[in-house]
Amino acid sequence: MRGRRLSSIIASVTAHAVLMAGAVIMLTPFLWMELTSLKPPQEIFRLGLHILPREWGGAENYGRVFSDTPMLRFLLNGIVVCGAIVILQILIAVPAAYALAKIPFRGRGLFFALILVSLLVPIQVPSLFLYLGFARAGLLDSYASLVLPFIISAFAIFLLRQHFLQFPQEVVEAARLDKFGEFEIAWRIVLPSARPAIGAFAVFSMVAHWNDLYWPLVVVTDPEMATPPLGVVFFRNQESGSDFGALMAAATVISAPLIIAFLAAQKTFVRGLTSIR
Amino acid sequence: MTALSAQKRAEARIGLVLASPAILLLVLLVVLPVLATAGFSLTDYRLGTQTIGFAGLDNYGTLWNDPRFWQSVGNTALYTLIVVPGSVGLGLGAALLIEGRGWLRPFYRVAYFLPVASTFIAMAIVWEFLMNPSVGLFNQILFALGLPGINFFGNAQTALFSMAAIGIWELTGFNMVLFMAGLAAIPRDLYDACAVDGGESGWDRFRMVTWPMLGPTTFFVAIITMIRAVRVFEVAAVITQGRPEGATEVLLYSIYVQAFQYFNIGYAAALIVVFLVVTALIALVQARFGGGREASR
Amino acid sequence: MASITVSDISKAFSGQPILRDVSLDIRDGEFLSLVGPSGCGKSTLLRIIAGLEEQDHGSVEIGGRSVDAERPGRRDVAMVFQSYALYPHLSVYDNMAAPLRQRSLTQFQRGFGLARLLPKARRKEAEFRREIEATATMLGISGLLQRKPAQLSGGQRQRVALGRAIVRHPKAFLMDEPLSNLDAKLRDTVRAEISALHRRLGATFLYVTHDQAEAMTMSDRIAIIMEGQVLQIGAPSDVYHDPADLRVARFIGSPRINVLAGEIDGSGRAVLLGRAFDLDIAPPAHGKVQLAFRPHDAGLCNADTAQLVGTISHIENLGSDILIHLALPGSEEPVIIRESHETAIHRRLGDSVGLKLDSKKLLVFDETTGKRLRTPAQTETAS
Ligand SMILES: Nc1ncnc2c1ncn2[C@@H]1O[C@H](COP(=O)(O)OP(=O)(O)OP(=O)(O)O)[C@@H](O)[C@H]1O
Ligand SMILES: [Mg+2]
Repeated sequence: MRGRRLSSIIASVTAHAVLMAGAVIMLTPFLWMELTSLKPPQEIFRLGLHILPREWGGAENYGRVFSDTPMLRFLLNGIVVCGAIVILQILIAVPAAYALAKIPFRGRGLFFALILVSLLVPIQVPSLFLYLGFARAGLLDSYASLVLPFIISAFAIFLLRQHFLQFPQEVVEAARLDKFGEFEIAWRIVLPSARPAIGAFAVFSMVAHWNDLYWPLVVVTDPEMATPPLGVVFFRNQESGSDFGALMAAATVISAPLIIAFLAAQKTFVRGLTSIR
Repeated sequence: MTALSAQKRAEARIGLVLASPAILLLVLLVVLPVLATAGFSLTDYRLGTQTIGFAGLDNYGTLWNDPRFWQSVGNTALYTLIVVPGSVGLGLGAALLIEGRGWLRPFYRVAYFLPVASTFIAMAIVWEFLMNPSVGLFNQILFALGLPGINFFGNAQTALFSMAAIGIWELTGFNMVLFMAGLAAIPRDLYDACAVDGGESGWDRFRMVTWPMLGPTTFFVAIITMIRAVRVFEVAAVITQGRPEGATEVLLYSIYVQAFQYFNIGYAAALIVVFLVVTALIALVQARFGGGREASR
Repeated sequence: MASITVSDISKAFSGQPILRDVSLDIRDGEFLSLVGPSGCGKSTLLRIIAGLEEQDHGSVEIGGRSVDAERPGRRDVAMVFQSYALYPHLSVYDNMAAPLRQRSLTQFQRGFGLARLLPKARRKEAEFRREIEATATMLGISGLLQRKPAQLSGGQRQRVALGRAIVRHPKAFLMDEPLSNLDAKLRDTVRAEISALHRRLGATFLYVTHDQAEAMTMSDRIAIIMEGQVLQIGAPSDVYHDPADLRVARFIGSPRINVLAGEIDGSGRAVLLGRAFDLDIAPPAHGKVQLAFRPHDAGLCNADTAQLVGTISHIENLGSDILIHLALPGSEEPVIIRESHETAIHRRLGDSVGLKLDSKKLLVFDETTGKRLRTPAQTETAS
């Protein structure tokens, strides 16, 4: 028995050592970002390995982020764009998914086939045509061009349809017998049961669009309309790699909202982000 | 007409009404653009020129003969071939090690998942700084150890691997969480049966139970990772611009450059069609062979 | 084949004691059932014997040799799980081959399918094949060898699980409620088959169930566990007719045993609902006892001549027999009496009838400890 204990202790220590090393690698970029954002330039450029800041450069770095760029505007844009996308996606997907799952109508099969095909199409595919369209309509550099391409989410419809399919049909029929209208059934009876699924999707979509760089890069040239990722790219190009302290401060500022949300609601986050299963 | 069929028809009308905004938008924002893009790929359309001419498969011919296209395909493939096994393997390893690791488990989970919950482009810029040839942390460490530094993104030999390292860092925690869910679904009895049957080492348990039971999860995770890997874009677009010597030129970045910097619409459309075919093929592989997944859960 | 000796096993889960000083002696070739209510620690004990769980105190011997330091695979016992625990990705054949390969092939031969083509491994594989085919024939599953577990019915899976245990000729079989996932009818068939299997193999069987009828019909001996302790071990008829503890008496037997509160007076007579019965028992200090009797150990008689009188509150017709529930004034639970069809057929609900007790068959238990108090006559027959 003692041999077994000893070998299991060795296994456990090894596992922790490996996991710890992995965790350090995972966390290094975050730590280094924080630490650098607090260092003054001369310390960043001084050769030799030193980890903790000796002089305080935080105020200056973060000050520059907010004075040299419209950082608050970036964050606001991010919130407006992501919020609008998620809300519209849900408003459009819920009734469609409900109809797909619960109401037989002509063309339903075709519609569902269309959803399945659309799942295969990443944004980069329609982007060319959509860009030309927005350019012609004079809508580049606008919230409309940032939001509209994403308001239809085949994934949301697919996910919610699966969920509604699992909702017992007997309950829907009982409600019909009780003279509920179709709309009321959907809104008052089925929808509340889908709240967790909708929440998970909202997290997933929020994170995906907060992170999206491709489309903003295509339609936005005016810094006033930049989303946070595009904003930090503008800032990086403007600094042309000289002021790392301020750059890391900018990275910190735009990463902070998601990271704080994640740390505050880990379960919801993990469930949402892995809901693609 | 009976009352029932009248009611059925009314219902069907409501169904169509509920679905119609989605149908309309789907046609407008997905179907039409995809068809139009396929159409553009058969023309010589460039933004700024007045005329559009039918070009047949010329754009595809140009692609076929363009070494940069092949380089970009090759880079994307190599990136995928590094990132998929890397992040799937490390994700699986982390999930296996974390299983039953008591009180530190929540910490590891958060640490490994943090990259997934962060803003990727910001972290890519941090990585660029970490990999900076003179003041970056990595080279500072190498210098302190008396080793020569590495010009991570400046050297054609290392640039793509540096990019892949960032990709693995980003995706490992995500895959780990998927594997942890898969592990939790394995019945404990199977491990007991394996032990009674004479399975003694961790390797026996892995070979007899864990690995076969995780098969469908692994397949699914690999496909998901692959779809994400072929969409690699940010690092190439922001940090390397495909340099040096096209070593980090990847498919999406080529599309971006051709479409939105050179406004080579016809040619970019052909690239997009190629890209769509690649991603669709991966997804079809999943649809065809991944059916066992639902059943096994 | 081997005996199993369990001495003073204790086990607690997070401070909660589950097994308390459990000792058991399972003879070579014996079929011993562990019964007890859900959660009493039966599976835990079985898993400790198999080595899947580590005991806090005590030791386990298999075949006269301590196995405390040995891993499950080295203890040479086979286990049949309630869920069967078949490897879902392997065919029936490979499931049955798994323990054989695991034990007699090297790591290299096991790990690489190709290595099985080498002459040495091939000789062994041929042996395995003979063994597996013989076992499959015995269990009537030889037609299923190429199927996956998912393609089998519950009963067939159960047989494969048995087969996987049998092929390796273990020293003992440990079975944890192997029949509980089968429907009632199939359970009866498989129950008979397992008994036949035990006779045929002559191996040691330790069989966990919470179905007392299963234990009664199959076992050489039964061990009743409750609250982490072995209350009694004995042949089925012993635990039924001569229970050592009130909890055992209540657990074994269907319909349940009748229990009435009473007292033993100074002259060793039992006083029950105000009536005295000659028993000749040394009373416990306080004199309070519980008196129990099986439904077929009492009868009904005319109310006028009877010592105890009650009202019929319910009649259960079992077909062959009839159970009469009798509400006695002063007793909360009704007394259940088994009567033959002919005598019971004219009884009606609400009839007032007398209860006729046979004092020789009254089982007396100390009210506080629940331990059996035997009359001199009972002590004699027991020993
Ligand atoms: N690994 C464990 N950790 C904590 N508690 C456990 C563990 N295994 C069992 N227990 C507890 O120990 C007690 C006995 O469990 P056990 O499985 O041995 O019961 P059992 O007699 O087999 O019951 P059943 O007839 O329902 O199978 C239960 O209360 C159970 O909750
Ligand atoms: Mg049990």
